[in-house]
Formats: sequence, structure tokens, C-alpha cells
Amino acid sequence: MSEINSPLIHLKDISKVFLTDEIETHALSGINLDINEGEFLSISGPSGCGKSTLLSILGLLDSPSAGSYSLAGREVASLNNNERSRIRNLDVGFIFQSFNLIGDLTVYENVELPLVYRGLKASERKTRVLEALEKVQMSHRQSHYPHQLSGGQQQRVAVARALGGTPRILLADEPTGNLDSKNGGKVMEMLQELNKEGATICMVTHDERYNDMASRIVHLFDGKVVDETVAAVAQA
Amino acid sequence: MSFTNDLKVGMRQFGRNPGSMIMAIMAFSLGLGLVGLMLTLVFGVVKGHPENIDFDEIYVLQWDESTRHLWKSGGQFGFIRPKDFRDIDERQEVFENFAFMRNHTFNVVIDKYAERFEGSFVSHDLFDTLGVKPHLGSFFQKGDDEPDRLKKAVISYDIWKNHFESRETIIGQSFNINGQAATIIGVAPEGFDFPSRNDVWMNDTTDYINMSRIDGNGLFVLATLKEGQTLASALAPMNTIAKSMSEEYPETNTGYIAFEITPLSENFIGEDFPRMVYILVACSLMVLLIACTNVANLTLSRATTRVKELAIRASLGGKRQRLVFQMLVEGLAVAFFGGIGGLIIAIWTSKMIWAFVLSASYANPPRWMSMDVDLTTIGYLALITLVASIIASIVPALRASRTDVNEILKDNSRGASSLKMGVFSKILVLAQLSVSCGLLIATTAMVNGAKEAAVFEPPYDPSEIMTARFDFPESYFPGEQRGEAIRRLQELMELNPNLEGVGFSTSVDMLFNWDSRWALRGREAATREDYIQARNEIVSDNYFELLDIPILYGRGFEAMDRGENAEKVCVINEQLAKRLWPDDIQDAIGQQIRDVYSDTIPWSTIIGIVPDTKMAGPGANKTDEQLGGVYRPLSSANDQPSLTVFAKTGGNPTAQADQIRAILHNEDESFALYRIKTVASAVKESQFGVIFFRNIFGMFGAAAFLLASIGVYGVMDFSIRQKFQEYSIRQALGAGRQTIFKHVFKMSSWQIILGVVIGSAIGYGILGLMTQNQMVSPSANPAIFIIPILLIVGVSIAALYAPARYVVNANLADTLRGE
Ligand SMILES: Nc1ncnc2c1ncn2[C@@H]1O[C@H](COP(=O)(O)OP(=O)(O)OP(=O)(O)O)[C@@H](O)[C@H]1O
Ligand SMILES: [Mg+2]
Repeated sequence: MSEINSPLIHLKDISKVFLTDEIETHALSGINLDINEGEFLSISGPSGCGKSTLLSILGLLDSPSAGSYSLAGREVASLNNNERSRIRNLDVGFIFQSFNLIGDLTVYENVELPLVYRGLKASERKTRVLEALEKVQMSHRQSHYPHQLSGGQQQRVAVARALGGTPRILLADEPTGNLDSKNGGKVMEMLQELNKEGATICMVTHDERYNDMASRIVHLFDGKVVDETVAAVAQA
Repeated sequence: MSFTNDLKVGMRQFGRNPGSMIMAIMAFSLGLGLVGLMLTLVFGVVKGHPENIDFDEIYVLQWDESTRHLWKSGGQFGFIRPKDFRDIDERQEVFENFAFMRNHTFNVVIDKYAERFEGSFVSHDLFDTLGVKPHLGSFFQKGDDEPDRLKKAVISYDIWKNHFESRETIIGQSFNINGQAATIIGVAPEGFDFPSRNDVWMNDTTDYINMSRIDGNGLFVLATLKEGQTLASALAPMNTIAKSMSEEYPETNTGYIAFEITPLSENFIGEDFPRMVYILVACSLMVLLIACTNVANLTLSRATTRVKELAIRASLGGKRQRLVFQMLVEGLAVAFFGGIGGLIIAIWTSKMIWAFVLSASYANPPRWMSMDVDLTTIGYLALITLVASIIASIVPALRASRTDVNEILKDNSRGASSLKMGVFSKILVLAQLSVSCGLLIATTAMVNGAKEAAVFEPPYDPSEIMTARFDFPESYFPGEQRGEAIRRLQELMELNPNLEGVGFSTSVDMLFNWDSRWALRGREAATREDYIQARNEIVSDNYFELLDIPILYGRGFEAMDRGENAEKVCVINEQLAKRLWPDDIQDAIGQQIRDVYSDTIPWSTIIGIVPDTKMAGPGANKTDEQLGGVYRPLSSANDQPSLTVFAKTGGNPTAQADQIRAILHNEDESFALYRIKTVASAVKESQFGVIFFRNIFGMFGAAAFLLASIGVYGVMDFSIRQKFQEYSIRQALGAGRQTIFKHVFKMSSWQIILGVVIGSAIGYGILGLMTQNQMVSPSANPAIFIIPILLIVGVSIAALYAPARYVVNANLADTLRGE
């Protein structure tokens, strides 16, 4: 448990350098960022500025080249593979632009998967899966396969999958990128709803409209945090 | 859509991904090469025949195996005895030519020294029956078979050239052959050595008229049908003759009521060798099947990378059959080059194997035999190549054509790898694992069998004893003189200061002994078949002493056992004693036994017991019946037509042989010494059959294992990489490395288990087919299953581990980010 007042996520001097064909790409350089519990953070910036890279590091899909990252008071930048998997499973929920549902598994099984990895009992998994599907209004489709669903529906299932594990933080990289505005709006409303219920969310989006839904907007440029805006509405 | 355009695409594809195409070509080459090798064995050896003799038109006449009673003819098998031959020849009306031959060795004195040749005594019309014309001079004429006729000889082209400098004046000249004068009347055409490696053919002037019906060597009877007769129409009248003869001569012919008439083409090679070859053909086709699955998988994975491109084209109005067509064109190209590679491998391996056959003195194939890649082989290979290429490309092509273009374009989650061939690739893996497991089991069994065939541990050191053989036919020393002659030879050899002791035996190469059935005085059996079976060896008195074989109980042979009036004695080995006197083998001493196959051999008293003397020759796992045996002294059984002479090598077997040859030659110039070797090298030679087949199986096993390893890796790699995205998602959701590994292995474990089970069944089946075979004895024990199974499981795990590792080491951030 984190101490009172200490942020859920604390990034200090995080940088990420990619080496391809002997060319160094500084995707992130000296990022300092705190995310508090219950916050709805949006990361914005031009293409290639490092948004996705930052999110990957936050989600422990990738590790930083330098700097320290503490999640709920625990240093996680230099954990081994298995410990990282464990944290991803317990503390992080992912929502991807391209949904990333497993095609061979049903909606139910997709949502259940992280809970299986967590080692929960079948009965508890069932309660949680149904609850999560209920939240995204997809209970009636639980035995369908992803390819039988529309894009918006697939993304809602992905949201349910991220929720089911009640993670400390939800990471969403352009969750509406592959959706039309109607479906995109629906997914965003859902995220806002979740945030109101207490979920911490960190999101990347290109869509200005959805930026406003966040409580704080972090502006990235060329791998650095250049500006922060705190939305007055959300603060209220 | 133009063909050239497709070719261009194909070439570009090849340029982009030459490894996969080269792999496919190499897999095909290996599979087709082994099939080609087997075809040379089928067409050159099993179905081969000399150029100028039609093996299908010449028939072999024998007594029917199922009706005859072996023991009545003294173990002459299906061969027809001389007197019966005369009767049948006079009565039969279905055959145009009716000839016989019987093998014999001929010692021909050329320039004072005797050379020994393999040959046959033949009836006058043998060459007519075979349809062969002389190269020089003439063949035999009617009447040459009569007992009062001159001895005549036809010689092979080979010895005419090598020993007589191709002199035409040789015709009409007289030579000492087997101690008697014979005139050379003709030279056979080049390459003729019928039936196998024969160099001399002589007319058979044996007085068959005055011979008893049961006597004489069995004859190999060859005949050609009269115009209008068929095999079926000939059999009934021939069997009528057999029946009437069995009634006329009940003493000797009871039970001989039917003939077996087989084309020479079937009879010549026997049953065991072709069966073995056809098993191998089946195995080579299995290797080819593995190669086909490899090629299919490679084609499929190439197609997969192209399927999205094709789908986009299709959506732009391109025709969908195009992919199928391209795959077929590509398949044919792979098959063409694979076929050429296969041809090269077939030529190379068949040359290698034939060289091995020729180098082994035990094989001694007829000169016309060969394992050449001829036009027939090439024709069949081309056909098989075509079929294989269709098998290898049709399934992936159909798979590819059936995929829904719309789905491929829509489906983001699985990227370009939307060819849903899960079941197909699982079958590929299963086929590869099970077939290679089966072949590996057969291979291991053969390797083990060869190892066991080499087991020969007599009380003496086989490398220190030399063995040689000489013929000692009646024509040299008839009747009573024989015993005296043998004793004199032995004395001369013992007196020679350069020889460290010389003995005689009937055992061929000191390894192989005849079987007999033995009666024990006081224990009568109902039929001869019920008497106890044991080996039979006749040895000189000094045999046990020279070979360091201890006498466990009683004594060995001594001077007092010699002579007409001496008591007939024998020594038995421990195995036989244990079977007959299980309570106390010492009880054997003083008991009397007798060879029931012969009415002329009297009871002999057991005077001694020796330990296990390996009378059954090399090889492990012999039955008690094979191991037990009786030794009788040469002094009381000197009617042997050939004898083995053995001596301590003193480090130089050839020098010893020279001394022995000189002594023999001194005694009679027509004596020839042959089969000169150490016992150790004889053991090695005796393994020819099993080593021959072990080597071929070894190649098959290695090829199958190699192809299956590559193939299984290919399929596993392909199917795991297809699920790359999925595994990345699973990891993002919290699956650790172990979880992913477990998932991968669990997914494939049933394939591996099922593959090993089916493979064991295949291996068991192949072994079952082989154990009916006399030539080779694959040995069946648990190890021959365990080793291949471990190899297959090991390879499968390795094949899974590599792509699984690749998957868990993937950069998740890259994989999961949207396209
Ligand atoms: N695996 C990688 N190897 C090399 N360079 C990379 C890799 N991943 C990202 N980059 C580079 O790092 C920089 C930041 O990339 P990132 O994907 O984080 O940008 P982004 O802000 O998400 O852009 P967009 O808005 O287009 O999604 C880019 O210059 C990109 O080319
Ligand atoms: Mg991005």
C-alpha cells in the first residue's frame, strides 16, 4: 500500500533510446511524471513524440534505458521478466488501438484470461468476468468470437478484459483510433464512467474532443514533457 | 494472367526467399534419392536377369514344399533326385526342354597348379533350355549324359580370357579336372555365369540307372513349356505323374504327390531378399512422404506470406486461382530440381552399396547383376517425382484457394497469417514424427541385430585360427583309401616344422555346422521329427586340444577310437547334455546316440562332454536347439566330400595356407585350397546380409530423422509464429515465460505422444515383417524402442523450444502497438 499523498506512479528521469541499424532514436529523454490514484491522465503530442513508448514503459511492456519508475511505491524499472508479468497481471490493464483480442478464444475466455493467469478460482473468475462484461454491455455476446463482433464491440470487450482484474491503472493507447466517432464516443464515455467510479486511467489520444475528458493533459514533444494542463472541469 | 508473369513472380519469390526453396529441393532430393536407390535394387537385382536369358519363360520344377516330408529324402528339400528326374523326363509331355544342373566345384589343373572354380554338372540340354549359344566351340549333345561318355567341359568367357589368353585352340584340349581327364568343348558367351559365378559346366555322367532311388544329390530342374502350355495347364498333368510315382515307389516317394513350378524370375532370388527389398521400398516411400510433408509445409509458409498480397489483388479484380496456379508451378519446379538431385543421390548411393556388395566375399552376386540407374529406374523415378510433387503442393494450394479474401482483409488480429491450417499442420507433424519414429526403430533394430550377429566367443581366439577348405571327392580317393589318405595328410602336416598343429573339421569356416536329429538309445520317439535336434560336426582327434577346448567330463578322441573294429564314439557339448540329462550331465558318459537322418551311421557312445563351443556360429540369442551338438571323429566318418583344415595362424595365415597347399599339392596335383581366412574374418563376412540391410536402414533412418527434425521444426516454428501476436497478448495480460512455454508444449504434447505411439506401431510392424526373414535378424528388445522414442521426443522439444523462446523474447511493445 502506498503512503498517503505519495503518487501511484512516480517516473524520474526516464529515457528510452532505440538502437536500430546503429542509429540511435531518443524516443524519451528525461521524463519526470507523477500519476495520482483516481486521476484521468491524457498524453498528447505530435506523431513520433514518444507517447506510445511512454505508455509501454508505464505498462511494463518495455523497460526504460535509464531512470527510475516506481509503481505503488515499488521500484519496477529493473525487475526480471517474471516479476514484470506478475505486475502486468495484477496492477495494469491494457486497452490497445487494435483491440488485441485472441481470435481463437470467445469473448468470455478473452476476459477471463488475465484472471486465469492470476490463479483465481473458476467461480470467482466467473463472477468477475460477468460483472466486467455487464459494465461494457457485452454480456449477451459472451460466447461469440472476436471476428463475429464489430470494432466497437471488440474494443468494449477489450475494456472489459482490462477491467476484470481491477488493476491499479488502466492504460489506453489510442483506444478510439480504429473506431468511428459514434463507437469511439461510446468507449470514451465508458472510460469516463470508470474513472468516476475510481479507476486511474492513463490514455493517449489524438482526438482533441476526448482530451477534454481527462483531468490532466501531459504534452509531449520530442520525447520531453513540455507542458501540462489541468482541466478545470475535472478538478471540480 | 500470363504464365510468364507467374514465372516472374515465382522467380522473384525465389530470389527473396531462396533458403526455403533450396530446403524443399534438398528434402525432395533426399527422399527421391532413396526411392531411386531402392528402384535400382528392385530392377537390377530382384527383377534383374542376364541379357540373353528370359527368366520369365524358364520354369523351375521342385517338389511341393507343403506335401513333401523332408526327412525321407535325407533333408534334400524340394530338389528332385536324379532317378526321379529320369522318370519324370520320360513321362512328362508339357515341357519342351527339361534340363537339370547341380552345383559343384571344379579343380582344374592349369600349368601344373590346380585352380578352383565354381561350376555345375549339367544335363546336355541345359544351354538349349536357357537359350544360350556358345561364344566358341559347342555345347553338350544328346547322349553326353550317358555314364560311358567322355567328360566334357564348357568354360566361361572369363576364364577363357584370364587363364587361357583367349586361345581358340583351347577347344578339344584335355585337362585334369577334379582328378580326371576332361575335354574343353566350348566357351560360354561373355558375361554368362549361370546360375551365379559359375565358370565351368560339365556333363553329368553319373550312373543314375544303377543308383538307388534315394541316393544322389538333389537337382535344380529347369524347363521351358511347350507351345500352347501355361503354368496352370502344366501343373495338373505333372502332379498326376507325381502321384503315380508315389504309388509305384512307396518306399521313397510317399508324400511326393505334387510339384511346385515357379518362373525362374521368382525362384532365382528366393523369397527372403525380395521381401526385405520391398520392405525397404516401403520405407523409402515413407522417407519420401516425410520429404513431401516438408515441401508442403515450406510451400504453405511461402504462400502464407503472400496471401495478403494476393487477397488485395483479388479485391482489385485479380483472379484467385492465380495463387493456386503459382503454387503448382513452383511445386513442379521444386520437383524437377529435386528429381535431378534425387537421381544424383540414387546413382551415388547405389554405386556405393554395390561396391560394398562386391567387396564382400559372402555376397558373390552373379556377374550380370548390378544396381545401375537405368532407363527403367529413371522412368519410375520421374513418375514418382510427379506424384510426390502433386501430393506436396495440392494440399497447400487447395488450402490457400479456399481462404476467404474478405476475412483476410478484415482480420487485423492475426495479420498476414490467416491461412487457417491448424489441423493440416498438426497432421504434417504427426506424419513426420510417427514415420520417422517407425523408421528409427527399424534402424536401431538392424544396428542391434548386426551387433548381435557379430557375437562369437568360442574358447579360442578366432583371430589366431586360420581356416581353409579343400574338396576331397570320391574321385580322388575312393572308399577304403579315404581314411588312410586323411591320416597321411594329417601326419604330413604335423611333421611340417612351420605348422603349429593342424586339424580337420566339417564345419564351414569353423563356424557353420549341419543340423541333425538324434536318437538316444532307450528313448524312442514316434516320428523322426520328434527326435532331438542338434548340430553335427566331424573333427580330427586333435580338435579339442588344438582349439584349447577343455574336456569337462570323460575324455576326448584318442588313437584307440580309430580302426574298423573300434567302438564308435562321440563327444557332446554341455548344451546338449543339459537337455538330455538335466539332473546330472555326467550321466551322459557311456550313453549311446545316433543320427536318425542316416541309416548307415551306427550308434556311438558318448565319451566326453565339452563346454559351449558355439557350434551355431556367430550371433546372440540362439536357441538351445541351435547350440547343442555332437562331435564325431573323422577317423570313423571319412566319407566327407569337402573338409575344412585349420591351424594356428602364427600371425601369418597366408604363409600357413601356403604350407598346407604345398602338402596337399604334393599328395595330388588336383587338390585346391580355398576359403582361406582367419575365423575372425569369416565371422565378419558372415554378417554380410545383416550389415547390408543395416547400412540401407541406417541411411533411411538418418534421412528420415534429418527430414523429420527439419520438418517438425519448420511446422512448429510456422504454427507458433502464426500465434506470435496471441502469445504477445497473453504476456501483456500477465502470462510469464513458463506459462507460455507450458502452453506451447501442452498444445503439442498430444501430437508428440500420438506420433511416438503410431511410430512404435509402424516400427513394430516393420520388425514383424522382417522377423520372417532368414537373412537378417533385427533384434527386438525394449532398447530399440526407447532410443528412437527419446530421439523423437528430444527433437520435438527442441523444435518447440526454439520458436517458443523467440516468442517469449519478443518486444511486446512493438508487437502490440496498433498498425
Ligand atoms: N522499437 C522501436 N525501434 C526503434 N525506434 C522506435 C521503436 N519504437 C518507437 N520508435 C521510435 O521512437 C519514437 C517514438 O515513437 P512512439 O511510437 O512512442 O511515438 P508516438 O508518439 O506513439 O507516435 P504516434 O502518435 O504516431 O503513435 C519514434 O521516433 C519511433 O520511430
Ligand atoms: Mg503511438
